[in-house]
Amino acid sequence: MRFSQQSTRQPGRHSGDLRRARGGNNALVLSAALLLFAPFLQACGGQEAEPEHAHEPKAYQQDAPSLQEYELGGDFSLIDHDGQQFNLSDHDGEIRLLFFGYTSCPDICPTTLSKITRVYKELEPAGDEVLTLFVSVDPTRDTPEKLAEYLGYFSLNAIGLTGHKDEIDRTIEQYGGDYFIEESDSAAGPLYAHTTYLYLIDREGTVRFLFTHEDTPEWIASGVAQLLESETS
Amino acid sequence: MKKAVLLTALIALVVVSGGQSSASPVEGSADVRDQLSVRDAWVAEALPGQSMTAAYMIISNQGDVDEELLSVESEVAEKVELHKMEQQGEMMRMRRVDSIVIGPGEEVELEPGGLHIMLIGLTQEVKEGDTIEFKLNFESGANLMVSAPVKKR
Repeated sequence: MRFSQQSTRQPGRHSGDLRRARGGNNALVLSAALLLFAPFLQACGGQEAEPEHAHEPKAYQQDAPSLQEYELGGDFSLIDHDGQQFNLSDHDGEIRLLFFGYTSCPDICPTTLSKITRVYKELEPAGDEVLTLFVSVDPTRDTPEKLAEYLGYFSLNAIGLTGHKDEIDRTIEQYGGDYFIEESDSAAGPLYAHTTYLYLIDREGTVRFLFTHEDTPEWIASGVAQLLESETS
Repeated sequence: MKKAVLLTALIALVVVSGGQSSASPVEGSADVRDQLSVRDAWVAEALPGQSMTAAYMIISNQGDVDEELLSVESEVAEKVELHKMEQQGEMMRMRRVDSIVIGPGEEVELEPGGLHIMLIGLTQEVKEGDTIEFKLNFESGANLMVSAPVKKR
C-alpha cells in the first residue's frame, strides 16, 4: 500500500540512491577524479597531456550540475488545471521542471515555486521555453480550479496537475518519489510528508537531474541552461 | 474601544522600537526584559485560495537559562501554531511542535524549510505591505511583542 496514515512509518521507501543515473555512478566519479587530476596530469606530461577534447566547452563542468540520463520517470497522464487530460509526452520538445506538492503546503511548496520564478529570471528571456509542472498529491482539496488560482500567483509558465489518487500515486512512484499524511493534531488539516525533488526533464522526456530543496536558483538555472544551449544549437 | 487599544499599542510599539519594522519590547519581570529579542521578522503573503500562511523570525536569548516559547497570538488568525519542517531521509516532514526552546546565549532561526509560525484560519487578508502584530508567550512568563511586515516569498 502506497498510502499510509502512520507517521511512524519509515519514510523513504526508495532509500537507495535516487539520484543514480543510467550506467551508475562510476562514470561520474571517474569524471570528477579526472577533473581533479587534470591540471596535475597536464603539469606532469607537458604538452603531450593536452586533453583530447580540449575544444569542447567546459563552462559547466565545475560550477553547474552534471546532467545525466535517469532511468526513473517517463510519460504519465493526469488532469491539468483547466480540467483537460494532460500527457507529459504532449509537451515533448519543451524543457520541463516537475515538482510534487500540494497547495495547502504552507512552507516548502510556495518556497520552491518562488524559487522557480527566480530560476526563470536567471534564464531570461529563454525562461519562457521552460514549463513548470506542479503535481498535487492532495487531489481531494486540489481541484483544477484551485490549482489554477494558486499557480496564477506565481509568474511562471506552469501547469498544475491533479487526478485520481491512484494515477497520482503511480506517477510519483514512477519518479521515485513518495508521500504520506502526517499523523497530526494541527488545526491546519491534513499535512503531507513528501519528497521534494525538482526533476529536470529534457525535450525528449528524459529526467536529466534531480534538484533538492536546498539548491539555489542559480544552480538550478545553470542546469536548465545546459539543456537550452545544447538543444537549440 | 478595541481600535483605541490597538492604536495605543501600535504607538507604543513604534515609540519603543524607534520606528523599526520588527519591534520587540519585552513584558515581564525585569530580569528577562533585556534577555529576549526578535529580529528579521516577516510574514509570507497569503497565497490565493489559502487560509493559512507562515511567519518567520530570529529569536535571541541573551539570558543564562533556557527560554521556552509556548505560544504565539495574533489577531489575523483563528489559530497560531508552531511548526517544524524536517528532512528525514528523502521525505520532507512537517509537524506541529509544542514549544521551541532557545538555549542561553543562543538564537533560533524560524525560516522557510525549518521552524515557523503557522497562521491558520486567516481572519483578514495578509498582503504585501501589511504589518502583522504578534505576542510571543514564554514559559518564564515573559511576553514579546513583535511587529512583522508582510512580504512576498
